[in-house]
Amino acid sequence: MPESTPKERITRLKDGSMRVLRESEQAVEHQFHEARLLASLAFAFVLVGFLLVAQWRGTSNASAALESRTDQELAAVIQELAVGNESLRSEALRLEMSLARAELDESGRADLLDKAKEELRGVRTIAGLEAASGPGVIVRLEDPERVLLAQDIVALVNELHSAGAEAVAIGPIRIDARSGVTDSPGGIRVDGSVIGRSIEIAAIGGSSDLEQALALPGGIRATLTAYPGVTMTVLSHLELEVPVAAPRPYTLGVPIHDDQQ
Amino acid sequence: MFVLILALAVGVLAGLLLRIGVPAPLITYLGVAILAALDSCLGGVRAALERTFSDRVFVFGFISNTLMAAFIVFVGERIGVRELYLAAVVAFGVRLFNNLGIVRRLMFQRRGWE
Repeated sequence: MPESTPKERITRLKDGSMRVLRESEQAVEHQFHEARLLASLAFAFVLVGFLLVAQWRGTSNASAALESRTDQELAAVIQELAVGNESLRSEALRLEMSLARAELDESGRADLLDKAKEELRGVRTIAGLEAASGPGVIVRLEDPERVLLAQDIVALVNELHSAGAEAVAIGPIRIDARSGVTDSPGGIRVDGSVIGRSIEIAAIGGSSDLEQALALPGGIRATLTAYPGVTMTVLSHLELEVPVAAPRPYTLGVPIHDDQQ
Repeated sequence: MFVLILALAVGVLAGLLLRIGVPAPLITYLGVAILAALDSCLGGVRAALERTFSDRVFVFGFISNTLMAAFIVFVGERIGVRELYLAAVVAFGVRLFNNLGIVRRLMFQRRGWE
């Protein structure tokens, strides 16, 4: 192999360095191309990921889902809602009627209870189980000679009851259905207690009716004051009180209930 | 491929953190646009694997596909054929699966699994 001249060697070296330069340029260009490829693809993928999540959020919203439906689907939804609404409305109406009925029953029951309580209070007052207050008269009998008998007191009380007295007390003793007025050597006894020469009878009722009944010509006043020394004064009061009767146990008699009434 | 999966994850994370929801009237538009964008991305991956990738073509394809998809939906709405978006869905869906299949085959070839 002939030895190359310096010029040829320089040319070869130049070609070699040019080739290396071209190859390195191609490598750089290739790397640049790869980087651009990757960057553009990565950017696109970031964008797609972001849009996917945004779309997911949008469709998760119920109202948004409704707005994205077609007219036919919306018509079906409206139909379903209308049917459901109608059903709910009738259910609400039924419940309102039930509530009104229950309230009516409740108020009826409450009225009945109030009425029963009122009746019970009246019955207990008449029976002497309740102290009572109201308008009425106080009859004061003075019997210094002790001429009056138990029957006179009973007659007086009967007269008061006949004239509409609702509650009567002789002194501190309330007269009830089981009260007894008896004569005794010590004087007249009411339910076992001697009432003395000065007798005070309180009666709740219409004052004028009671006064008139006592003052009838030939009536109880005239009868009693006809006895020697007996005087009777009748004072009407707008408000007077009669005490409660002494409690008396009910032991032997058995109440007969008629459940059919 | 790892970088692309990472990029997708970054996008999802950004979406989750920014809490931006698409307004209801735009849901259909964006749905089809996303399909088009996905198709473009898979097309880009395919081109990269086939060594025919051009970033200019990819960016232009990505933008034009996305806009065209949304435009088709818009035109469908305007001319009273709302179902026109189905045409875009079918077209991009078919392309998507086609690209996916090719990308899978190319990756298998690269790894010598085929």
